[in-house]
Amino acid sequence: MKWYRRIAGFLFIIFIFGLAAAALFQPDRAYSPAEKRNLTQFPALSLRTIADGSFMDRMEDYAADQFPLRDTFMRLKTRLSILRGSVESQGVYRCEDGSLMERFDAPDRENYKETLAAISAFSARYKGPDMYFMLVPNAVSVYPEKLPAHAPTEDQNAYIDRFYKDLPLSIRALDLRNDLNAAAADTQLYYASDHHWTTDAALIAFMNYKKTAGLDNVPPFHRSVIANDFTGSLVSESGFSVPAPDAITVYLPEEPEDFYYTVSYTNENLRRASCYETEKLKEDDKYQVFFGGNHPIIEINTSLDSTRSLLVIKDSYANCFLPFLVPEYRSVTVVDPRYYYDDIDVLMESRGFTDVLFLYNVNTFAEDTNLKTVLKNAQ
Amino acid sequence: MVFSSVTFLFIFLPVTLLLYYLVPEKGKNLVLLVLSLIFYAWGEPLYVFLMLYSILFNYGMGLLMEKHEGAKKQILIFSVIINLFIIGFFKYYGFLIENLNAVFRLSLPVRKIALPIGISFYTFQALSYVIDLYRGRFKAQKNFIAFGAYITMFPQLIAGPIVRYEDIKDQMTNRRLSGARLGKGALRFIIGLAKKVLLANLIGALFNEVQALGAEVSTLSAWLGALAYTFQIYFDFSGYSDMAIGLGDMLGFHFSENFKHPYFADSVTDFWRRWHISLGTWFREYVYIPLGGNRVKVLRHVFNILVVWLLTGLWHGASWNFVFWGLYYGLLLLFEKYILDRIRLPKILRRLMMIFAVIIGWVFFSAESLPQAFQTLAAMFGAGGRAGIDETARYLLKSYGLPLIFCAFFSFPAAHALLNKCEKETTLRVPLLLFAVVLLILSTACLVTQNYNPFLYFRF
Repeated sequence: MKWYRRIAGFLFIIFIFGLAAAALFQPDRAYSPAEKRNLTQFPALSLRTIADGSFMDRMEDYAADQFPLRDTFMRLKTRLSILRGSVESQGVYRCEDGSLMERFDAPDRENYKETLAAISAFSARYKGPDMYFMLVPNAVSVYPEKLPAHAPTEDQNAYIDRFYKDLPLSIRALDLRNDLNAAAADTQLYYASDHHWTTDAALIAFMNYKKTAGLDNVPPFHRSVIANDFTGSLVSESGFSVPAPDAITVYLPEEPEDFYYTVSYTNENLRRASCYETEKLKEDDKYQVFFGGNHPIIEINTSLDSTRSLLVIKDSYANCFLPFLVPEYRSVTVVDPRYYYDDIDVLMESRGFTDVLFLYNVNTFAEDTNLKTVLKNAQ
Repeated sequence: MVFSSVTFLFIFLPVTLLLYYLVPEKGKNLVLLVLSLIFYAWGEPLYVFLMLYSILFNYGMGLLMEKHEGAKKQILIFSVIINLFIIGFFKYYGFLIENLNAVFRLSLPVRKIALPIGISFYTFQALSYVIDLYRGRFKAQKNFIAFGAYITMFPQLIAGPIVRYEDIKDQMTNRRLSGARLGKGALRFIIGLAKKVLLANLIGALFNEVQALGAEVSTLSAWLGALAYTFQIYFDFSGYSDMAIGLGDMLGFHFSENFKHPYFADSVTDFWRRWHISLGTWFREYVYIPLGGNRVKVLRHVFNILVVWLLTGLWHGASWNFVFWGLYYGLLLLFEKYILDRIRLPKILRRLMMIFAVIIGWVFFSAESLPQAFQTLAAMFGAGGRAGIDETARYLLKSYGLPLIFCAFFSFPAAHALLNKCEKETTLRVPLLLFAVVLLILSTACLVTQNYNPFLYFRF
């Protein structure tokens, strides 16, 4: 019995000392591409951080984040979960066809009421512009048949019905569900690896918007694939893998020769002549190819001879939708309340928008607490 | 610090083993004491001074008791009162004030005092020392370092087993290390780690999912939740004890077993001989037997049992559901002793009754409050026209069916017997070693990816 126990002891010692030594000699990483997040760095050491325990807490995170072969261990863990029958991880479902979907969780009722009240007050304050609300359903409600058997998720349809019913009549509700459902079988409306909708889905939404908003001279578009190696946020969030990476498409309009526009990122003091940041295709989050990601405020001015100017209040679902709007307006101003700290009323009064569009996906909207703050700014 | 963390397994433990094995015999207690203090301070940077005070106090009381034979009893009473006062203040003060306020309609200020980790465990060890010293079981420990090392010894400091000084006093000065012993301890540690990380945490996720469903759960979901907690607490706590025993072996200590397949018991009485054995032993030794045990009249015996179980319940936490849970077991034990034992029942039936009683017990134990516990019970027994099985229950069953089967298998002695058999058969040892390595790698994978996994027994 002795030799065998000695070997066991030897293996154990090799294991813990080996990994400890590897951790010691391996340089720390700042960022994890697999998890798409910054990794914890060595915590500040002082009497205060020790006494309040924050040093120890951070140290636990640091040791786990900088652990040798962390990515390999993560894959192993996911493999293990799948093996034991798990189809869900961090609120992400792994569907039968290998695509990933975000679960919709029961929204907070108080927040719902407050957000609704803020929107109503805002629309009552500004009677001038036409207002539209586009609440985009997520993959779970467009492709419910793909969900793993019995997988629980809240009902998005009921949520959208309720919201559109509660919305003041002065805001026009853009219900995309019929159009999206009709196209669902032939068109991939959501990325398999990411929580966003595809540009194809955004085009369907734009056609719907076009009708309601009375846009007539929509140019023909050319569809082209600009990337086919996109592995999105749902993969990094859940640890699940997808059978194949996603493709990102864009629709380039056939514009008249003399049409041009500028995109200004006011807070960043940047000006571009295109909606697309192709540099971002070299990075992990390739969805950022649309406007380089989210910004507090984007101001797009076009050479169109028109009186119509639009304000879009939105989340990241709008990013691939906005390029369709550009040829239709004299100016498009885009506010993302999650990052916007200025006074919306100053903006409203100084710019005299003719149209205001709210564009959110259900998952983000149900959890969002920033919209009500931004809209309430004046009170 | 918890055993199932990256910092423990890959920083603290390697450093500890290195220092401990390199330092000569004489210095080992000091190394153990200093490292144990660091281990404790990692989780309780301020309360470590409370523990130091407790060590100093009980050490001093021991010396005093030996010096003043005549005043031995007074010194004992004084030190028991002080020890109980400390634990009483830090653990029960808020509960006491809340209830006084409620009963007498007072408004005494309630101050939320954070519970020092492991206070229930180390105070009970200190009490065993002063009480047994008074009884003349051994001489006072004159070496402060050895005494401090006994109280703080990190393998069992924060979640047991509760080691009585009497059982370990010789080992404080005389213990032997060897490669084989290190390996034995490592194997035991790996088993414990796997129980905690691979089974308890996993099945705990099922319990949390059911909790999150709220009051309107189907009957099957409610049962799955209760079953999940039953397994979670067993693998969590017995896993911790395995790790403690394994670490003890690595450091040359022998700790007694704390669990012996409790879910295989054939009565509630038997269950408590197999569950958290060191706590049961402590209460028997220092409360039940001093009260007269069972060698008294029936009514007095009933009283003794209820007192012991009221205290056992309270030991687990300052809240009414622990009180209820303790008394529930007191009554069950009395019922078994005075009624059930006179009826001959088939063993399988007795086992089923035991496990049923234990699962119901855990419902009270795991609930946030008594009303919540009754709400869960109502769901388990189909009250209010709820669905028996719903989509959610099917989903949970599908996601956790396999883990539940694993948990059931590893709860029973068969798994243990299989392990022992593998150890004895020369040809099966290599596969067993491989199995241990796989468990270690899988456990590490889970540790690295889950930054948050507290032990249940830290609350006590």
